[in-house]
Amino acid sequence: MYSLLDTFISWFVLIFGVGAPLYVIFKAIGFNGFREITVYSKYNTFLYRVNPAIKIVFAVVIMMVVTTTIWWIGAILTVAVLSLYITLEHGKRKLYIGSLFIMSTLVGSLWGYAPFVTYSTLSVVFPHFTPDVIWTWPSYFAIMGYQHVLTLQALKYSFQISFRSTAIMASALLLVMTNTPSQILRTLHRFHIPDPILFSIMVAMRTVSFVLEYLNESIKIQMMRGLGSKHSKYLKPIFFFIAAMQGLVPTIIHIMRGGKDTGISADTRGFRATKKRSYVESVPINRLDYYVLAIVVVLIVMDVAINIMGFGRTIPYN
Amino acid sequence: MLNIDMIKMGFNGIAGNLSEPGIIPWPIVAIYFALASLFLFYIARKNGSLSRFKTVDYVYVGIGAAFMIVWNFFVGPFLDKFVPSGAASFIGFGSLGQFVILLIVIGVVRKVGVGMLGWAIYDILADIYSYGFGGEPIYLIYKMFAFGIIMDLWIAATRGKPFGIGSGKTSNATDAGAKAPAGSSGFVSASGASAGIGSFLSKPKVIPVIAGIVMGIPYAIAGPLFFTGFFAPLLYGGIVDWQAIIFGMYASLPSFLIFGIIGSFIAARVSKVLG
Amino acid sequence: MSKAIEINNIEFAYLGSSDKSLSIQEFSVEEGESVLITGLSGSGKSTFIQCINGIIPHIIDGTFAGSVKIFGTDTKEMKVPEISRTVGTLLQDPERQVINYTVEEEVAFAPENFNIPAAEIKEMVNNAISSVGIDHLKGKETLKLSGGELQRVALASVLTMDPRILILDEPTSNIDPEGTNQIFEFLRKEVGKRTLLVVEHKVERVLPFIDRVVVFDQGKIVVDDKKENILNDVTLLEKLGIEIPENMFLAKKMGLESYDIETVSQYIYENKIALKMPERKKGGELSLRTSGNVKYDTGFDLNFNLEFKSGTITAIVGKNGSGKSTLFKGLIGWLDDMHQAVSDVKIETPEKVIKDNNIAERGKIIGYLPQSFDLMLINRTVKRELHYSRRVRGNSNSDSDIERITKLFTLEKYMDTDPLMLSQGQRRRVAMAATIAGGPKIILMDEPTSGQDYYHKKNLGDEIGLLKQMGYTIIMVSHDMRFAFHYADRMVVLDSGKIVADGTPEEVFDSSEVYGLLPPAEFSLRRGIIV
Repeated sequence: MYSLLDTFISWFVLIFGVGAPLYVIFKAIGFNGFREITVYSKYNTFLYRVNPAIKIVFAVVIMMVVTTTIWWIGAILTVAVLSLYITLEHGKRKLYIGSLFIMSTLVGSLWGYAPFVTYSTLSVVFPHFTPDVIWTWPSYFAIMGYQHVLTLQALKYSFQISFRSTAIMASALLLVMTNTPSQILRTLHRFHIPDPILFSIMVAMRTVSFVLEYLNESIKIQMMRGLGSKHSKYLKPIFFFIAAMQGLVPTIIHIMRGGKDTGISADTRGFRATKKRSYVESVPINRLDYYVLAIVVVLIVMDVAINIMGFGRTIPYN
Repeated sequence: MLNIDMIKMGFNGIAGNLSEPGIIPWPIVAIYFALASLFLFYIARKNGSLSRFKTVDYVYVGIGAAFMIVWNFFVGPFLDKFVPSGAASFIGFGSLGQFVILLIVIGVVRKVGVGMLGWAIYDILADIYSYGFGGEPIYLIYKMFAFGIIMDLWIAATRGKPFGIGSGKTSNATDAGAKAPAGSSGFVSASGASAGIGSFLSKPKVIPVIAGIVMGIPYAIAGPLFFTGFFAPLLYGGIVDWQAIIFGMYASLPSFLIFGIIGSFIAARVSKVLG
Repeated sequence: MSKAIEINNIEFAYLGSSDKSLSIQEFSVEEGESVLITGLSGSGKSTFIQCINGIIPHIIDGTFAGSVKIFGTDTKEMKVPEISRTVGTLLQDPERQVINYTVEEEVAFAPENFNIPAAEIKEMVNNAISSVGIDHLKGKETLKLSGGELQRVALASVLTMDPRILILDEPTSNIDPEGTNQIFEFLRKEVGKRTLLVVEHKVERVLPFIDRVVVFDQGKIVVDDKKENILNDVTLLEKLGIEIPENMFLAKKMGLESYDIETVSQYIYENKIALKMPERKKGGELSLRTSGNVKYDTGFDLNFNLEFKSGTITAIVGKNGSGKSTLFKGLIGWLDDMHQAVSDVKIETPEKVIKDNNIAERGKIIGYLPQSFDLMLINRTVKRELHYSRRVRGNSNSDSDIERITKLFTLEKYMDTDPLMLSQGQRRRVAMAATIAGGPKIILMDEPTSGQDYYHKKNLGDEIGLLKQMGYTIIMVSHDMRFAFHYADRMVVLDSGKIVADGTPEEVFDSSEVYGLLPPAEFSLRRGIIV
């Protein structure tokens, strides 16, 4: 017999799984926090001096290591990369926001997988699989695709796969926080990506910040005008979402209206005048970059060694 | 012993696995992409819808890509939390949002190539912000040719009027100081005809509905077909399950149709406002 | 002197429009000449300059006829990048022009496009930066600059290629008084060095250093006269909706040869002519009391204690970074405690006290009209926009209240129109009407005159005047000193987070120059009398 308390706990767990990442994303991080970890800000510690190309190589190698080794390597690398945030401008705050963001991703994917993992998947992941049931869901949860029970193995599996993207995400954000878009694009320029495409990416990177700012403004104005005020404050995230949806079209139109001037301004400053474009600031490879490259090599060697030692990837993707 | 997965990942996270049971043979994928591109070029040239991109077009695409980034990393995941896993095959707000945003961009730019360009810019941006160029350039090719080309074919087929917004003559008198935006005449026939099917198509609400359907159906098909059937095994040895692919197509069809139509109306509105 | 610009029989109609947006038979500018171009929004000024810098016919689609020659070469025969080496163009909104992250990157954008060697570019960048006087901004991030600073960065980036013709299209419409002064100061120094075309509504600020005035109306040049003859045209200019400084009117009326403020003031003083002062209201009941402290992690600290009365208009003024926007954000509860600032802003009305940052609660008392008012137009029709607050909040506004607001803002014929399809002036009115329809009696307006011409500013002034009569408390942040002089009952000056002056505009303008706020001509004319 499923008691009232069990029902309450089941619903609490379900709401926690959905609500906790949402709370973290919207209340603790917010648009401003998100903006802070996605936009370059000038500072002068060693990460700002590392060539963006080397950082891209670093991110790619992190991705390779994480996807080919056991989960806890990914976890260690996530913590290691995140800890570098402390060296950035407003390092403590960026570390805090970055950690919240990674945590919300972890909790989100943990609860996005755990209740739904089938026994067949778990038996591939865990040889000699015997389920350790830690909770039984109400039968009607099956409508949402929940398995009948939540097992310890499902939690473990979900926790482990959650680390697949976090280290990559943390190192990618490091790139955008420590390099101006034009520095990144100069690097991409070496791969012969056409200038108009690079220009478009540069516009996009600058616009991300405006999108967050204006969307935030549109949402707040709607709240001021009374959206959601007749309802419980616990429904605020729903109305936040409604406001974001309603604000999308005016925000797009507002930014695109300015886009015409951006185009004219670029055209009247000779954009696409010649096939080849020069760059005033070169992004040279310096001694620091060789150190980072050495770390990259160490990571690759470590990857091979870890696999030889039997700590390679043990969890299938599908 | 070296773990087999290590070999499978290969360079830059690309396993290069082309022999997974059930995988679509790579020549078929390559031929489809090549033929689709040639066909696109052919009809675009034939009906005169090939025109050169202006700087402002690159600006619009960049703005659209910025919205896609914010959507994909901030708004989309938030919405997807509300979708029960059982329904996740039917509705994925992350990809639907990107679809709608790109519809808006193609409505504003209205030039053949904007669909593929939009996906390319978004893909590079997503790598910069989150994915770290893992699996590239395969993802870039996948997104441009599986999704972007669908939109470009529709732009070519409608002669640069994907949502019926045209450039018919109009008087620009509004109020003091106001200037009517170019192309603000509303919806005109995609074929330019004034009777029969042309008259039917000239109804303001018809073209966005058709556009939503014509682009929504292939979008729903392209994801499961190309990704699960080819790119997933190619990239990381994903298992090809044709039942899952067919189910995926059926399951995502209604949401892509609905969002395709809604998105087309929004795109028509935005392009009308911006001219 | 050779001809810098020669125009013959040009006509242009935008794609999709059967009406001609521009029609000019003959027009020319000598090399080194400085020309003021003015006219109402939509009169054809921007279309005209786009014909000169080649955007028309090369970029903007439409029907173009005639010829525009730049130093003898037809723009049709050149590409836009080629034209841009001779014609530099600075646009209105710096935020829309600047693309790069650092000041140097932005200033180097043009020479990089021409594939000039890096060493040469560095020199060009340094020269351009110095010529605009922004050496102190080197190395800074463009996203963190004020509007005025950003506009000067944009100007430097136009100047890197050292264009022989410089076009400035309403360069001060969106920036602060300090930035405006610096742009005009730069222009003053540039006179004669290159050909200048300045599109500007602030006629009085530009007149001292230009040679010629050209006025547009409905796509045609209706006035093209030397500056010295401008007094003869003032009546016509006013009819065309051009903001004419009062000293010019008075000079014409009094038969004076010079219209400079000192001459006119002297004449007024000597002849004991009484000039009418705008009426200032003390207001009725106390409608809002607010006090607070906001601390940013940058060290910026804002302290204030203010009271506002019903039926009054207050202008909050001050330099960039003085705390105006922070004050507004504090009042409406928008300051994000975790990432931006620690704020403690209390608002108090006769009925209610709010201490926390509850946006919805504050929104019941205070209506907010942002500078980017498009962001609040979320509904498909004007009617739905005006009914929005009633729908979502269930406030006490009845249909007849909303009808009254509709009439007040003359929106009756647009009720079923998509608000985003309207002109800028109409959209501003819809946003304002929707704010009022939300029910609050205290209205905050952030830079309501930004980017607007005289005609639209006057409409706005009339509208807020009516709201004042109806008992509303209007509080606006403004860079527009002339607007504040004409319409505000009270001015509050902020400087480095502190209130440094608070009084009627006359009282404040008496010493406002200390805070970088130049009084308008109207005040200066009257100051003589006051003395």
